[in-house]
Amino acid sequence: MNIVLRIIIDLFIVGGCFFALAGAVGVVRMPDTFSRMQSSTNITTLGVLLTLVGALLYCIFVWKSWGSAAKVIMIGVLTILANPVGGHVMARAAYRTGIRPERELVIDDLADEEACVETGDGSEQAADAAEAEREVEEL
Amino acid sequence: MIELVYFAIFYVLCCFVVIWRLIKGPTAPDRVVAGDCVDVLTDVALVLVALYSGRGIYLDIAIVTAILGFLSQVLIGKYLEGTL
Repeated sequence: MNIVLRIIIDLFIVGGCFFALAGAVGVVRMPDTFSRMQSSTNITTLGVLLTLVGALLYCIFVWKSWGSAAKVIMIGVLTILANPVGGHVMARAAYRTGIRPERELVIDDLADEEACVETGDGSEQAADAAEAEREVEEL
Repeated sequence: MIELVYFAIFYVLCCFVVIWRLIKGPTAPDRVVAGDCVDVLTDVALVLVALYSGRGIYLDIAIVTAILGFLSQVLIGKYLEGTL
């Protein structure tokens, strides 16, 4: 196979390995829960995506298989879409179970009990009405 | 390309680093985040093993692992929050 192509693929995968190692060390070494969550996104974005770009090049130019390339693209799109959602859910759950960062928060939007709660029985509209009322008061 | 399997082994070693946090982690969200990291790293290791061994079936397993990891993270998050 072409040596230039091999070097390019290896550079992508080495970059992914570096970011994965940085994220793993951050998950172990960071001082509090939210810092560790921030460091874990290092793994799930650059650590995965650079390696998947290398795998995509390998699938296209070495295997010459577009089906495998589509599978690799599907894994990448799933990772991009799923991890922000999971990260938001976990951060909110950590806040609601009483975990706070070490330093004091500057802005604390989740302190409002109505914020980001899905109740599903029309009280969402009540929360919207309360928020509109608050905006009117501010005006 | 023999080096692909070495990269896969490197990702698995990163998994062991994160598993230390999974065992030790003082709170439940720490453990869940570490578990999701293990899931994603296993995913990438499976892709690399698929490229090394030349068998496309490992790519399918990697897709299923990605979906199940996301679902488990969201479910445990909602459970901890109390709105499941």
